[in-house]
Amino acid sequence: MRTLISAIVITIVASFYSCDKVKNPTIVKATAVGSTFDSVNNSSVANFKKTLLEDYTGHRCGNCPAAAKLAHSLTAQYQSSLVVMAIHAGFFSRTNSTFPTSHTCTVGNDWDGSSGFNVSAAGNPNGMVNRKVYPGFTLVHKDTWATTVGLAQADPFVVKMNLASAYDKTARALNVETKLTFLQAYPNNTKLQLVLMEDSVVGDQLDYSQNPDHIEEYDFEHMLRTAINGSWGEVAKSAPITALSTATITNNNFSVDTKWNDKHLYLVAFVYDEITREVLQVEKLKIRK
Amino acid sequence: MTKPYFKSSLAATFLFAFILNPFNFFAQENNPIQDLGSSVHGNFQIDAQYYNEDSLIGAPKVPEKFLSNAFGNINFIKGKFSAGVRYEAYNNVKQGFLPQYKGQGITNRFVRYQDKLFDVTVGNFYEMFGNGLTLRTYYEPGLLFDNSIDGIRIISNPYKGITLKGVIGKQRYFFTVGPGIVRGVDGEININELFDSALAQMKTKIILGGSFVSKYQSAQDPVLILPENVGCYSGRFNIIREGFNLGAEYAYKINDPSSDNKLSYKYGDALYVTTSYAGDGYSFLFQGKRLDNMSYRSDRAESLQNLLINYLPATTKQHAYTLLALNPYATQLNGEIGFMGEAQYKIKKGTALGGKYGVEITVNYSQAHGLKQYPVGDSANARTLYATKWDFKELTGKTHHVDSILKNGEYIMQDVSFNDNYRYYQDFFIEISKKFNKKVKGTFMYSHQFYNRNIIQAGSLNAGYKNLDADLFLLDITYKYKTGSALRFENQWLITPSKNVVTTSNGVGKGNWATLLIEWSINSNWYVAVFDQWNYGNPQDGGHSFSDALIGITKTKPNDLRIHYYLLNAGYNSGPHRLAISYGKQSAGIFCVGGVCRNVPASNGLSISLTSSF
Repeated sequence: MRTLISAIVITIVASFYSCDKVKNPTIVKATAVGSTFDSVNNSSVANFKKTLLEDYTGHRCGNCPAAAKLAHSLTAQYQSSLVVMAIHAGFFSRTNSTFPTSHTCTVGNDWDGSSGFNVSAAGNPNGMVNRKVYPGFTLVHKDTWATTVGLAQADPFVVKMNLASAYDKTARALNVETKLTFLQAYPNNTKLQLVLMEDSVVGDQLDYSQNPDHIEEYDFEHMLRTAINGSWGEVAKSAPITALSTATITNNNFSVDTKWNDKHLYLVAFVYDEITREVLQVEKLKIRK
Repeated sequence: MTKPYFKSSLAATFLFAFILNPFNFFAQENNPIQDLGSSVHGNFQIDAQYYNEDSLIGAPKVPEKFLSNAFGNINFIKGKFSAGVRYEAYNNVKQGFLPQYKGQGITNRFVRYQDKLFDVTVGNFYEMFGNGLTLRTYYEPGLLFDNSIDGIRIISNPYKGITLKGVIGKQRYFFTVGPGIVRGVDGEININELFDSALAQMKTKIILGGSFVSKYQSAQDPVLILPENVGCYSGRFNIIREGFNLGAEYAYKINDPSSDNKLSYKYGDALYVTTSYAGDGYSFLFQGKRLDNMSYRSDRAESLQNLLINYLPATTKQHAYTLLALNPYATQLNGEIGFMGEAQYKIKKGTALGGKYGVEITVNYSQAHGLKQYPVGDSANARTLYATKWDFKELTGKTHHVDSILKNGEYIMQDVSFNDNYRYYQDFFIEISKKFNKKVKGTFMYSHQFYNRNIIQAGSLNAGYKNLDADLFLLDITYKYKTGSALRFENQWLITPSKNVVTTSNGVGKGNWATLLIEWSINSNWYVAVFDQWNYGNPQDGGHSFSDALIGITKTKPNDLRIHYYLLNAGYNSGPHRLAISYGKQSAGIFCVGGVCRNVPASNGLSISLTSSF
């Protein structure tokens, strides 16, 4: 009986902590811009629909390098019309003494979490193509990536995105301007997501295709590092969206962490449907030489 | 992400267990269920309607022509164990209900175990903490209101006089569950039972209680830091002594920006007081409440009656007759102050006024006002938007309102001189019932109602409606000519000084109304009735005058909005079974249960309703 009462008292006390009192509710957006810009490769715009392939992976996932190779071969096939992003999240991305470096980040964990797409809960490697439900499920196993990316080529071209950045390499400050032009009317709210990903990150990786299967200097490509405008982006344009309507969204003075090699960093922007979460267009550019 | 109920493994497990359970199998042999002290019972209801388009009364075209709402409950009880399921089917959902109900499936299933120490429910459950200011889940099929929690509830009586409750789960949202998690605990102490040796014989009974509820919903807003965990707590007492009862509850909610409150970070609070006294042949009741920013939902973006966690009691008279209930009040979640007083007196039989059978008189007065809002001068940074005070200035009628309006990215304060915009509802009501002899009894009612349609129906000061000020009269006479057989005559009038004031929810009805009902209960099984609801005061008369109508020129012209809403009713009752059929036109209106309302559009067609329990 005493145990019962104690348990209930503990529950009551614990539940009192379930309150988030917010003193300053507004997220303050920076407005400053830099002065020593690297102006190479700082804009990207396409007159066709591009596809986003998300590869949910982890350094302790022995089957994941095979998926990464497959994604690499798809980029060779589809060139700039396919953007691949590797998200390290979930059980196989945890650290231990053999895999001491964490490659996870907040945005990746949020996307992978129960409020997101719950991908690693279904096992790694797994991925999504445009976060869309193609015949089957939103989650796509690597063996059907090629087929699904092929199907995605027939998706309608809804929104054209002109992505431009100016990076101050001294201050490590990134300024982004995204111009959207909706080529057709669209019924739902749309959001813009900006993230950074890094190539050529070297670290430990389990790889069942090798013997021994522990690779100490594995080369990680297109690794998701951070979100620039929050894990779920910001409103790009609210419904109802009429054909040929435009929107310009500016995100200035994002501080690029010194832990990352800015010469290997890519800015990825994608527009998605707030309700279905389907990605409507994606662009990618290198932020400096 | 949420999962449809029919995909829920719990539902599947339960159904599997229910269908294949060994007692069902044995039941086919010699029905041992009864022998083992088990019982199966339930009920079902089917409401179906065939719709004709009628643009004159605002009845829309229904592509399916025929729509139905149906549900059935089956409950199984065996000793300390009980379980139940409810199946609902809307093919497609009837007019006036939210279209998200379209479809069918198992929407409620539970397993419950009760003994002296524990009462555990797994699955869907309905619960109420105190008066419901922090948490109340309930099911009202007439409104299609169901905010049940799908999760676990534990009730325990660890010591005499003490009841503890704990709940956790997600709320029903049409055929799935909402995104937020609801957690809550409630404790209640009956002082007299707790100290039974000293206080058990005391005439005064005291009950104290308190509850805490918290909801969790993840936040992904790029502009605002939204609280993901929002707590709401309350304390209450109840004092009972013979015919006297006094109860009060105060609830406080921390910052809960939502679409209801324009993303205000202001706290919310509510006070509810109720007291009553019943003596020999008379009784008094007073209920008062003041609530401020107390919308509490498990999805901050939701509206209407969706995913409400708490319940804010109605403190206005709930009318049952057509015209008296044509414009009912619904509690305003964002803020109101209101009260209701009611006195009932029975003039004893054998007195000069009471006559042979006595006379019953009920007088009721209720009103609700918006809260006076004071400016706080904050900008988009603090976002509390307004403040309120406990100075009861609202009741003086001479105050002003401050509204926060988003303009060029900044919130500005707008002063609005107080006028009837902030008087939400007022109702003075008197009812006199008298039995004249063994066969005839009658009821007379008068009500004066003030109804702020802009706020109550549209939720906006600027919806463009005129406030309704109406006098209503009702006469209801029943002649019971033999056991089980009766004739009932009912006549109602709604009279408003302004011809152009809107009197029905879809705006078609304007000005005065009258109704006439003649109902014949043929025997205890069968009844038939004819009903006419006539908007005789509508300013768009199509050329007819009131006197034309009286002499029989009542044919409706295309542009004549002095519409007769004729309705023919017939029904059959037998024990727990009831079948009702009606044909005709029904005006738009607002249908309420316990202060929760839904708008019912006008319709023209055939309705069938079948209810049964076993």
